[in-house]
Amino acid sequence: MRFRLSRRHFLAGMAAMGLTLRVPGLLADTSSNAITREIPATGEPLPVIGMGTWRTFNVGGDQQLIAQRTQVLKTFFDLGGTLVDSSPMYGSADDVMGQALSALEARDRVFAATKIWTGDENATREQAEVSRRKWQVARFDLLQIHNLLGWEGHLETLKSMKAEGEVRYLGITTSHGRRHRDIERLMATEPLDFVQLTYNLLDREVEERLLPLARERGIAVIVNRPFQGGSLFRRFDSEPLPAWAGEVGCKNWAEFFLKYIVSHPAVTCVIPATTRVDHMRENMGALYGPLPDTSQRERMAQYVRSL
Amino acid sequence: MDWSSYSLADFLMFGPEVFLRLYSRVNRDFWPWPVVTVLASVLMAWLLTLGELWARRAVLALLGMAWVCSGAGFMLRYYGPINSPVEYFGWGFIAQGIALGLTAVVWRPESASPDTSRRRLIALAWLLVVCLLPWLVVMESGEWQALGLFAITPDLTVLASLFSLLLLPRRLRALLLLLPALWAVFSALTLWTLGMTVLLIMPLATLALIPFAISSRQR
Ligand SMILES: NC(=O)c1ccc[n+]([C@@H]2O[C@H](COP(=O)([O-])OP(=O)(O)OC[C@H]3O[C@@H](n4cnc5c(N)ncnc54)[C@H](OP(=O)(O)O)[C@@H]3O)[C@@H](O)[C@H]2O)c1
Repeated sequence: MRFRLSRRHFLAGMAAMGLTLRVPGLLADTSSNAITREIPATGEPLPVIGMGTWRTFNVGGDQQLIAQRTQVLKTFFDLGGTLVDSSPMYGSADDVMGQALSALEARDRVFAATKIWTGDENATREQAEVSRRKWQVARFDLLQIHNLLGWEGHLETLKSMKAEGEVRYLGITTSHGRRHRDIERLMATEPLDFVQLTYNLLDREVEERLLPLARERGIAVIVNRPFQGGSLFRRFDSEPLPAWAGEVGCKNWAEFFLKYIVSHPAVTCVIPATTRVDHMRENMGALYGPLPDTSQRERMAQYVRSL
Repeated sequence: MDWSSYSLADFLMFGPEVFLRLYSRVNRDFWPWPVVTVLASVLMAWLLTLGELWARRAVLALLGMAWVCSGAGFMLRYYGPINSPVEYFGWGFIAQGIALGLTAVVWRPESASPDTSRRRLIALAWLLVVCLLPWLVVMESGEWQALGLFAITPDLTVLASLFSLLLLPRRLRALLLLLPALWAVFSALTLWTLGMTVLLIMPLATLALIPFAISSRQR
């Protein structure tokens, strides 16, 4: 296939290169131009847009909805995504993910991330194995302790599992700004590969301490609730995008919300969730094109505040 | 854990579309069972008008079967996989169904059946509830296949049961109203969080009627 370099591609490429120079760990993938970030622990590149499954993939045994969600996942992979995040807490989401991966024969394309969510600190391996069977993957890329539930026991087991090659990375999660002191303490003292937290244009508390600490300690950051569970759309969808949105690489609100997040230098990946193929396409738009720089990010935050 | 930072929505694991489709899926998958349950509902209305002991026993036995079916079918197979607490309720429904079945067999009534006019009133109320309320799910979903029928779906099974339980003595009745009360609270909170105000009518009506059902005399 012949590749013609258009002016748009050229400008987008130059912008991405400029950003790469400004933000360490941010690389433009030459094959697809997808924006990737390195996982600090290994240098492995990860596309900055991942996918969440809370509510969206909990469809039980509904074959029609399983087929539809499979199309959402297919769109995600086709547009360059890899990291999918789930949890045993999300009802049938682990099961549905397993079925969708089988239908797409996409196990080699997924960066499989789920969580340990049990108060029984001796049940880490058992729960990981139950989830692994549901996903039908050889092993998980990432296991995270969900909301720090039973973290002491789970973390020790996860360390052993990682040492034995049963999982590649380990991490902890929180959301809605909960337990940030505990998260900070663990980030400062434990050998974590990943931390997952809530960050979006309205919930910016993590900019103060957790994101700088993640950079300092070389911990990859996964951002959950990038749309505040969808409420950012309900609040701002009827408002116009600023005239300068194109300058920061945004064609729609989804890109505006997501690019604000992934342009923070400490962020490795953001995991918006959706039930819809058209929304997935919009969200994956944020994986390409220029990202805002520091002053443009501030302008974005100010614009949203002014609405 | 700081529970004050949690809202009900944080515990809701699924969206309205998945929930409403449970009704049409169960009706389709169990076809022609929905027809059988409608016929059984009408039969129960007729039995409720009769005063004989065998009729009262038959009502309780059919009611027991309705609880088992709704627990084992809708709750354990369809609703439980997307909402884990429902699995526990599903087993509770099966246990309650068995208890009602046993009551039907071993129960020796100390008092006579309610008088004729009261029996007819109970049967009429029963018929209205089992015929009209299934359409609430249709109103909410816009799909006529989503009828929320007695003996299949829990909200209507619970609400309709209140009328038949009036046949039983007060103490036994109070015991058998415990699970309906718990389910109605759980269901009301779920439907409230899903924003399904039309469907809220059933658990709220159950909660409003339970005090009357407990205090009501047998005749
Ligand atoms: N403690 C934890 O570990 C934790 C806590 C919370 C979340 N998470 C993870 O983070 C993920 C993301 O968070 P979240 O699901 O709570 O919220 P979110 O991603 O901020 O928002 C999801 C909502 O946004 C809507 N949406 C998505 N893309 C859209 C678009 N382009 N246009 C309009 N609406 C759009 C979706 O509706 P549609 O379906 O209509 O698109 C959905 O209702 C979760 O799925 C989960 O994997 C983890």
